[in-house]
Amino acid sequence: MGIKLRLENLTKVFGELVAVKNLNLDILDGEFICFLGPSGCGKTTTLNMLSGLEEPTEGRIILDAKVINHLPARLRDIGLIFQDYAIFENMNVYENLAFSLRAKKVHKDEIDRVVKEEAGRFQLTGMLYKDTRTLTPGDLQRVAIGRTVILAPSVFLLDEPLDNLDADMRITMRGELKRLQKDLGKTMVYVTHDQEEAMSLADRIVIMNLGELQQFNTPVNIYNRPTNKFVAGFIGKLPMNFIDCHLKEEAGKLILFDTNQTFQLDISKHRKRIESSIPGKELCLGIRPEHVSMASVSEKDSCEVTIRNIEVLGAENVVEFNLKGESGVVRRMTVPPEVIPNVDDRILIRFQQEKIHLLDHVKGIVLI
Amino acid sequence: MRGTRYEATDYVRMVVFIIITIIVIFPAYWMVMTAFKPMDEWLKYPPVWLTLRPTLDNLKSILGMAKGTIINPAQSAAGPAILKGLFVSVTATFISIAAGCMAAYSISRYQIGGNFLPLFILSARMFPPIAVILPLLVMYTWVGAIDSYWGLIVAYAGFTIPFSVWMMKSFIDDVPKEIEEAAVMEGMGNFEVFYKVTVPIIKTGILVTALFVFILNWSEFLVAVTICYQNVETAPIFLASLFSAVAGTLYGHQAAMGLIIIIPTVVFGYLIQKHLARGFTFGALKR
Repeated sequence: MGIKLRLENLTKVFGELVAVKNLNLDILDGEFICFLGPSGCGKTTTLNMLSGLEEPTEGRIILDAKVINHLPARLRDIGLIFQDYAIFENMNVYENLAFSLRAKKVHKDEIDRVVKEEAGRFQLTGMLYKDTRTLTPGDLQRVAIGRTVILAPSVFLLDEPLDNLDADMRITMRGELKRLQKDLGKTMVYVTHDQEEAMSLADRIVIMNLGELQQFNTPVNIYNRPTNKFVAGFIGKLPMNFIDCHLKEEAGKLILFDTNQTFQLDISKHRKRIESSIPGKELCLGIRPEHVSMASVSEKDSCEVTIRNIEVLGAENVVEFNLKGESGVVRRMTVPPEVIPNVDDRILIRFQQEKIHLLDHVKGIVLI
Repeated sequence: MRGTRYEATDYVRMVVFIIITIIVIFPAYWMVMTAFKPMDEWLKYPPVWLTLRPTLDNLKSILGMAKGTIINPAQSAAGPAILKGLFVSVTATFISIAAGCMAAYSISRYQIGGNFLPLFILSARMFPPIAVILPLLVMYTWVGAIDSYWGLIVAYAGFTIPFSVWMMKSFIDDVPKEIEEAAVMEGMGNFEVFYKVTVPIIKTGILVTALFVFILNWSEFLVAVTICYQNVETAPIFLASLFSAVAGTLYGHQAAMGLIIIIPTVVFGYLIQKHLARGFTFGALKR
């Protein structure tokens, strides 16, 4: 697979605001890429620069080894699907689908053939002559996607396309989109703030925050190996627990302990990484709620916590707890559905050793 | 369903409503009634509320169909004035809408002129027309636009463009920019997007604005009476000229003329009624 789309030092400035800062990415041919980040992180701005609706302040956009910075949107061979569908409401479904072909002055019979074929693919055959004002949001988005597919661009851009749909429809459409991408084999760049969507759809995820690239990797790698505190805290259904810790040497072992000394962890095996990268003795321990488990007896690395709240979710329960002497912070762990401890109970927990992350306290970089 | 029970406040409300309706309807009623009254009832006291001797004489007279009446109300019949007035009003409306629509689009989409231009355009309507008319008369004399069709058309278009711009700007503001962006992505140039995508979407708004502008132009009196003499005549000018040395102001004829003046507006309004009913609530975007 060759490189389809390359962003080089892409920067966009609106007045004082740097919306996108020095973005460098290589997107491969046929890849499904998700841009993920909180609102205002620059993901939509990036998409608009790719589509040609915004001009970059600096940097280059290279599509198929050709710089397209100054190419107008319609000549870019890029299709865009919007959150609000951007359906032409004064036209029926058929006319919407035929729109781009008519703009290109394609012959009537050919338009008819293509429209009917694509209508079949998107289950729109029965409503071709329906007023678009009467369609459900799901069908509207199908029309919008169908319209772009008919345009046959080499790259698809999707700007939070499922955001206006209800939960059920979202999951259905997610599947349809993934299948469509497989069918067409086209590169898709998908912007979302919904990490579940990104994780389930993307081959690789671009995580952005405050206009800067945080991490660009596969969903599994981003989950298991986040590069910094932002990504670690952002990815995952529940946010990662961060606990301030200190280091000490004891009998040749490297021991990590929290401020109130409620637990001690032997992290000697990570000695090399830690010693070479941080001078001080302060670290941040990162552990996902799903990697905290209840301990039955007082093991060496277990610690006692107080339960503050329990959320029963059916498939699992989320337990909010505090370490000894802590207040004002919420720590979370997940437990099997049959385990329902009481609030204010004291229980023993342990962190799964192989799943812990250690972060540089100052720079927020994940060391392990 | 149980019978509706009215409360005291409902009755008060109804009475107020009826009074307001009467106040609004009465002038129109009086005009229609006068149009069909014979001459001796026009100014009779006590007034004749409902004429028992309706006549078509007034209408016939201004349409030039009366034969041998004592009063020869006007040098000419209403026909030419109506046609000329229609020509001027319709042309000026077209110009006003075309220019207004494009101006509104560039203001709404490209922020042309920033905050200044839209207000500047509106400021053309911030003082009474009479204040503009004398300078206009002087300028028109210089350029030879007095008593000419194009002079009156330009004046009318100029006076109504602020309305066109502001009304249509609000319609265009309501069209989501994504729809236009989608059209751009699908291969359209900027101007094509404007007239193939945006204009069809705001069609309703354009028609409503056109009706409004047409009414302004069609019933305009002050500008027309100032810059026109013999060549160009509009319906309101003709109406004002219905005066006889023998009988004074010809109220019956004027009322009949008023009746005729209403017709184009009613017809146009009726034709776009469907759009008026759909009103200003269209929005191309479902949220």
